[in-house]
Amino acid sequence: MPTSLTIPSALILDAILSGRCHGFDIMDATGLPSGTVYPALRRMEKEGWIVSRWEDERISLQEQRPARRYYAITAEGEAALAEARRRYRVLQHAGIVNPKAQHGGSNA
Amino acid sequence: MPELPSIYRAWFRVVERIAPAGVRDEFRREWEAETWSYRTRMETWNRVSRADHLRLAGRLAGAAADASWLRINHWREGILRDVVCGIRQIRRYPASSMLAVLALALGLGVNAALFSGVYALLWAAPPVPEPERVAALFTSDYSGPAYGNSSLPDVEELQKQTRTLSHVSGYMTSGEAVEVAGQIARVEVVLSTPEYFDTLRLTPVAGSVYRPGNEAGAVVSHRFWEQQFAGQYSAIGSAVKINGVAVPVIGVAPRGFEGTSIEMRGAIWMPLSWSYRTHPGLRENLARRDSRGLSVVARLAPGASFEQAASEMKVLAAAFHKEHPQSWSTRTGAGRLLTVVPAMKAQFDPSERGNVEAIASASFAFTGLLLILVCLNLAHLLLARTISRRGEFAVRRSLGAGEGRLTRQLFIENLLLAALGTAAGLLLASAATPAIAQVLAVVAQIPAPELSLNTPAFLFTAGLGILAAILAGIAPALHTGRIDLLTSLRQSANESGMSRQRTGARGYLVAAEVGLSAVLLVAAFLLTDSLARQQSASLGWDTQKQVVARLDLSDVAAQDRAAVPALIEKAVTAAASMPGVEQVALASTVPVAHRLSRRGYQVEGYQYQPGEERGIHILAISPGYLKTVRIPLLRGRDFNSRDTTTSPRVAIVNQEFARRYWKGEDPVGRKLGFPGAVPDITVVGTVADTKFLSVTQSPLPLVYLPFAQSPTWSPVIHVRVHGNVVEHRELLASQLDSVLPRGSVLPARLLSELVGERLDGARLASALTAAFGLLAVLLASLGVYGVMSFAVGQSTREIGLRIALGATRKEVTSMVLARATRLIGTGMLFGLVGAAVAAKQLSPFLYQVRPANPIFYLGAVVVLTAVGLIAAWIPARRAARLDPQAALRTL
Repeated sequence: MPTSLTIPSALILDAILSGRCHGFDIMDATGLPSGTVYPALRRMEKEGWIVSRWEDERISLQEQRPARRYYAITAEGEAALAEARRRYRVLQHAGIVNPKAQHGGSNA
Repeated sequence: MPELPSIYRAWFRVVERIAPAGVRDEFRREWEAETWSYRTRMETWNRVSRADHLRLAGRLAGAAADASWLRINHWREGILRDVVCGIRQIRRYPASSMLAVLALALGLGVNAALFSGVYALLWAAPPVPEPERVAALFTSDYSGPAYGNSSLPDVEELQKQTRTLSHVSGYMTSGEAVEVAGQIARVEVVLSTPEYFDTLRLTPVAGSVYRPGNEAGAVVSHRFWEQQFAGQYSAIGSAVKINGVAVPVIGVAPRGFEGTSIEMRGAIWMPLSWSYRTHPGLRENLARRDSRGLSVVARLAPGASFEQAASEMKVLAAAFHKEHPQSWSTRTGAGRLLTVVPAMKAQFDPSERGNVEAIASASFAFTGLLLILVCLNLAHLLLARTISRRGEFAVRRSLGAGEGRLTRQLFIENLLLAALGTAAGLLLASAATPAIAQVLAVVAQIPAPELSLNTPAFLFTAGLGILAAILAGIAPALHTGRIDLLTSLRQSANESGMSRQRTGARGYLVAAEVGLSAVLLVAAFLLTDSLARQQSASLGWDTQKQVVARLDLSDVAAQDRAAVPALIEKAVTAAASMPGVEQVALASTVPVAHRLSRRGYQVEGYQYQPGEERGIHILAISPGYLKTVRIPLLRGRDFNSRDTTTSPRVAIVNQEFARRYWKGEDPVGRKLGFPGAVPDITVVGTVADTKFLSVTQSPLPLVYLPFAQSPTWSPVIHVRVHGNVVEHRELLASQLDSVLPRGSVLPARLLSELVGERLDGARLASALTAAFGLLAVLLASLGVYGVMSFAVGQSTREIGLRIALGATRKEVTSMVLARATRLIGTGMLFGLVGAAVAAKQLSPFLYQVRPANPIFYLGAVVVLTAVGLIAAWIPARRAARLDPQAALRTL
């Protein structure tokens, strides 16, 4: 179903594509609130633009933390993002990092 | 690994309750993991500010949004699944689904059409800006009634003195033969004071409108513009010829606007300054304060209310009475009144409003009952379906589907059926609306509004459809709620028992259906009988074998009044020279098609009571008219050629006149006269009473005057013929055209047709009520059939056992029939009581029918019992033919 992307969803896809792969990490990267990010993730997963998987317990145990849910972009997701980039000029400057996220950064 | 602090875990445990059960676990794990990492990371920072804590709190709050999204999505997907499932169910039971949709369509369609008609008559606002602030203003009549016309001098004085009305405009309508580019169109022309369009705040769709100081010409209606000018903008600046005067067209009124009252629709509006040119004598006539020919429309001043306007009108009326006692007194000597009514409530004579409301509510009661009956039937059908799907539901419940989930699915299935039924009902309604409007108008004796299905009716119907779905879904939903897992699973395999408990809910539904059907059936019997009596009732005059044509010689009169009588004489001679003509006569009007005019008379030897109506209906007729239309002359003589303008004035009265004014004594030789003068009109004959407006009316006192002594420019020529009356219609038209000026003969009609149109509404109403009654019987019998059929189907084993144990087929049949009789009997008992109540409510609408007449109730009992038993007999026979071995094998 060729549903078009909203700007927040495109930002989130963009963040996932650039390696931000779990909820709070994506919030840090995009600066979007959790009330936007999570429903968007759920919706995009339903659309088949992203997939999620649970982190291997062994790794999380090794790192002394609970297992996380990781999101990855699918081929359809990349196509949708490319389409969105053509539509929204704001997205053409790739590698968006939210300047407000002072303590941001990946620790995955 | 340290644990996440319990405050966070408690929060997630609360929020996860929002999410659907299946994903709660994942939801909590994901949020806890993220929060854990974030908190651990915060601990590594040198300084954690208040803002950082707030940010975390904000993110945690978002979990609620996440959970809500999951829940909503779950619902949405569930509903989508239910819709798909519902469509599958509809296709799985095509016959019963179609029946449900059809029943709903009928029930809703009838209601929608009625609503459309009632809405347009009682609640619709004229299509002008702020219609709720537009008022209609009335001056009370000499003899009392409040809703009379006003005079131009009064309107002009009102305009100067009122503070509560910002605009006041007087207007009247006049039927004219209007010439547009050589073509004649018969239309109503509104002659108004120049403030008309400012009062209504109408802006033209093309050109401009006239207003005080700029009265350049006429405004045409959108419809007239489309019909006569093909919607071309070149219409602006062209001219319409009215009574020989070319009036420039300056603008086109907005689409749909044809006036503020259904009684005074217009196709052309013209300021009085132009009307004085097209209507010679109008200026002098309107200038008199006692000449009240104008309807008045006004707009409330900003900030003013109808209450304030009403009290101001009281003061102004008193002042007018003081200033102009002659023209402002009523017959009791008191002052006349000014009444201000919202224009929305003055679409027709406001004194008729109560009558129309009563008819509307009676009709709604009727169609409402029908809809309830439809709902009961639907409920019934759905319940039957639910029961046959008990196995399916039990399996689904045991697989974890909640009660709410199953109820929702059923509800959505009902909604789907309702949606289909509503769509079909709307189609039906759009076809039925004009017919229903005509019926309402005829029953209420007001002009028929021109209308189609409107938006409010559409919304009303959609709402009703949903309501029907809910109502019909209650019983099945309750039933699903009660499904007991184990017993149902067992029972779905082998049904048993025809006990009262099993058919319980359905039994009540059938009893209710039978009861309601009895009410509807009795009402239908009463109304059909009443309408049949109306149709066969004698009008007191004969309408067959006659062709009529109205002449309009006002153009001739405008130039040379003296030429008119000779032209009329020529027309009569031309008509009489046609072959096969028995008799030719003239009358001032065809009393069925138009209201009779009234004149105030004093009657010798009769003292009017205070407030008594003084206007007496008159009809001017030529010698031979009575013979032509077969009104029997009872005493005295008919008019003859010696009754002329120079001979003594004479009149003929009807029996009712003699009864009312002369206590039934012989009127021949008695006298009538104009008020204030010596009575000088001698009565020379009496005729039988006739009915003109409708067959239900009681006869009116009527005075016939000789046409020669009371001439008109637009007489109706009546021709009675031998042989083919339709051929004579064509012949008459060409014959008259050959001797009269162009455009002065209106299309010739058959008198029987004209009268028939008047009675068509009654015929239609009769057909509709009969159809309703039939529908009610049909629905009730379907109900009985459905219930008995299911009961038999479910007691296959029991019946098989009985047969195996020696019960005869006759015994089995009578067992089933006995059960059906109990249901029908119970319903009938309540139904007959309800019918008696309903009949009493109907009695004002009945003509020569006694609502308590037992024949109608007996009829309903016989019909319903017969139909009900036949409906039950089919499944009973099936039961009796059961093969006991096969039946017992289902164990």
